[in-house]
Amino acid sequence: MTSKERIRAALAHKPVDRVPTTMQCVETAWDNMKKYLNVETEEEVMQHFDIDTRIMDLPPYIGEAIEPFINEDGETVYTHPLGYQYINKWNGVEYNWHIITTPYDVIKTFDDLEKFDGWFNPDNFDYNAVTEFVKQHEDKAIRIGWPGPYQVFTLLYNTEEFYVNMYEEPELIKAMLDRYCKASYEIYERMYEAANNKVDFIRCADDYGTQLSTLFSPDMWDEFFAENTKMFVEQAHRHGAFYLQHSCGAIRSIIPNLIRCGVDAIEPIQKVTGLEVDGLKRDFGKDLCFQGGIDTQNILPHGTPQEVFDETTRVIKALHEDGRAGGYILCGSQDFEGDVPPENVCALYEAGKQYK
Amino acid sequence: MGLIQEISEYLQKGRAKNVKALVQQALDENLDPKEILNDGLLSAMMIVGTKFKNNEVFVPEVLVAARAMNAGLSVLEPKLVEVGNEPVGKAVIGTVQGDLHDIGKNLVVMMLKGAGFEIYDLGVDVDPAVYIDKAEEVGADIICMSALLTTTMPKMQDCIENLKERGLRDKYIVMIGGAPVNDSFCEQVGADYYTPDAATCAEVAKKVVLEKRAAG
Ligand code: B12
Repeated sequence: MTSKERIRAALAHKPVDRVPTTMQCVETAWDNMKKYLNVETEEEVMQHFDIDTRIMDLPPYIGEAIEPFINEDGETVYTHPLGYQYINKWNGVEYNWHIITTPYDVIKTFDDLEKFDGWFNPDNFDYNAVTEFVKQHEDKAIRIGWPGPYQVFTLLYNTEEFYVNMYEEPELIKAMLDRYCKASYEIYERMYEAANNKVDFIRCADDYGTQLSTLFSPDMWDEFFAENTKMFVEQAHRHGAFYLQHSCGAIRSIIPNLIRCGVDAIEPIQKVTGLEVDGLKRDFGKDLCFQGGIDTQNILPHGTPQEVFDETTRVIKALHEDGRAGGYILCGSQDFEGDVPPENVCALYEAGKQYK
Repeated sequence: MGLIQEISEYLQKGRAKNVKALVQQALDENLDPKEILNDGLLSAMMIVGTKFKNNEVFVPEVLVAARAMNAGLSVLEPKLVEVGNEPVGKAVIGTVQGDLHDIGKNLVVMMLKGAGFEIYDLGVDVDPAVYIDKAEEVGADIICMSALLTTTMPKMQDCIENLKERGLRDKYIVMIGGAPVNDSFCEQVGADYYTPDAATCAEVAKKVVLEKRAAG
């Protein structure tokens, strides 16, 4: 099986020749891995582990240059193509971004919404790069996608304002979500086309969960997110791609809603209330494929390689297909962070390789 | 339904305008400001916090309730000052250095306010020494730290070590929380209390501050 076939089979609940893999790291973790394996590029790290996917979240930005600048505190301020400004801060272990301006805050009325011109502009991205990317990785599974509507609002809009306005200005919030989704939809449309429909799956990232439950109720999820989720799912399916929903946290209560919207797979299966892997497989395995599940909050940063190996084997056993319906793609329960020892990353993929 | 009860009901539904108007009405009718505070506003906020803890309501509901509480407090506060109402205690709170997650921290702020604390909110990305400087400046009882990343949790220990170096460790109650924090981490870094949610944080904070004060 090629990597492409393997991932597609897993997502379609069909048998695979070995456990399919993907890899997601924060910047510092990539650096740690390169150093540890003594290689230069992320591509070489992925080749080392025989990773089945290649990921292009957004195509390269080719709009008007948004040069970084230095602020009063001497920090370098970057502007993300989505429109928010951020700085990178070292926390003693790794660099993390800190958002400093949220552009949607100026939208307080429908009037403001009409006047606002800070939406994603689909013309600002280089779709030839998508064509190239797909050619370059012909036998790999191609994944696209970036934050979904909810996550984007935590980046582009004051988070607290968002929650309060779900109550106080629901129609305005829905209209804002619609505008955002339209722009996003258009970009995906051009990506699918530039890829000649060779995108295998799309991952939309929306962190709906905390350690214990969802951030808002399942009914509210339906009210604000069911329609736009359906829209992106249908688009993916029309282009022969699968739809993977990323959500951090304890999202069991909205899994039925996601299934109703046609979602094919979920990740990253954090070790939180209600997402115990056996129960997940039992209750939703026939409808969903799973990705992730190896705990980045505890085992990966703090465990020994042997513990990581054993835990990985346990999770694969619970979630991986054995002729039963429901596939599995191996990776951590979130991006590997700077605090995960490279030995533990190796142990995780080694367990995948050895799994019979 | 009595006026106080009505205030409580509207607060639980997050209706800021109604709460504000009713608190004004209660003051106009010469009800005791402390009763309006404790039985109208604060106890209602605690009810919302408990429902949140039990997954009966979610973050948006707590936030709109908190806005309603603040709307009521804005009318009530001048009166409370007049009658000399003392806060239960003072708490300094913030999200640790390198970390910008603040939803949970803000809920803790609201619940502590609901429990009658005066709050000094340092925001996010707070230097370990800054918690202590602020606590010294305002004469706080409690230092509360929130961290949502395993990579920023060690900053809690830095703050506690800093307290020790400055000979202030016993002066303050240190509470910690956030997604990756747990009891064993709390013990390991030498903090006083960890609680998994905001409502329990407020309960524990109130209890230990009162105990500490009683012990002299
Ligand atoms: C929302 C969110 C974000 C938002 C934050 C928006 C904001 N303004 O806060 C955004 C998108 C910006 C974000 C960014 C990142 N995030 Co984030 N985020 C989350 C998420 C989904 C929910 C957190 C939340 O708000 N929960 C809701 C509140 C109500 O819960 P809470 O914070 O836990 O608080 C409750 C209790 O813990 C307690 N409590 C909280 N503080 C205190 C304090 C005291 C004293 C006490 C007693 C109690 C207490 O009371 C609260 C209420 O009951 C979590 C998922 C999770 N499992 O928690 C990930 C999560 C925390 N994020 C994570 C990561 C990795 C990141 C990033 C590094 C992503 C990246 N790759 O760049 C960045 C880091 C940015 C930075 N510099 O900090 C990881 C951390 C993993 C780890 N190894 O620790 C998590 C766990 C997700 C995951 N699947 O792994 N994130």
